[in-house]
Amino acid sequence: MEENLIQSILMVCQILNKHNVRYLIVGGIALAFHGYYRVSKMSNGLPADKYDFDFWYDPTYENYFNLLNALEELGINISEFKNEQTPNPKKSFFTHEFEEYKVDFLPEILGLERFGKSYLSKSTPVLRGVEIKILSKKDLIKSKETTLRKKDKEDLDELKKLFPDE
Amino acid sequence: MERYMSFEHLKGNSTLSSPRNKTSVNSEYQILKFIELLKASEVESRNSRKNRMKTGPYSK
Repeated sequence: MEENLIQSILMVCQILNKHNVRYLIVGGIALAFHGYYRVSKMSNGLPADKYDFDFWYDPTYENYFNLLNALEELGINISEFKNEQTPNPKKSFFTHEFEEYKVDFLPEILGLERFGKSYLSKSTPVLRGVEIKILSKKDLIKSKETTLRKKDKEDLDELKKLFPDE
Repeated sequence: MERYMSFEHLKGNSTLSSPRNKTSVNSEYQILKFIELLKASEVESRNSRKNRMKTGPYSK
């Protein structure tokens, strides 16, 4: 089978790294990385049409503009955001659809207070020369514990079965 | 890289408006493969770190 999706997501991560974007992969990919794979679901619990790659980005001004530069290199027109007089990184959500998947860039994750703290305990597998930054298992469990969505409760149950001591 | 033309800057609103197709079998396969590759890479780098510690200047 072709590997367009894998190549594409690696390129996204490579460009984020190149622009020094501080990010962590969260959501279903982080969940699967730590042991529990499920189909991508929407917030209402129904299966999503496309797989989600959720990125939590550090909502500092510097990192916000690094992210914009990375998105620009990905070919996305971000001129209107770059020229904003009063950007608010903490309230800025970005989403983009690729052919086979979509990416969301989120400034905050429920249950996790400080990006910098979670960033220190991240997992960093290197795949084909590209470092991928993934939310730690401990923080993933913490974030799931504080949300009330049905799918997060189900994820949490599965994680606790896999890691009863966490 | 091909993409849909839906790029949205959402402030406090996470709804998506563009039409989406069902996840293809190939996409699902690639997602699973991507995750397996990530896991294998993590195990490899962990083992590599352990080996470096064993053979490093402070090893016995």
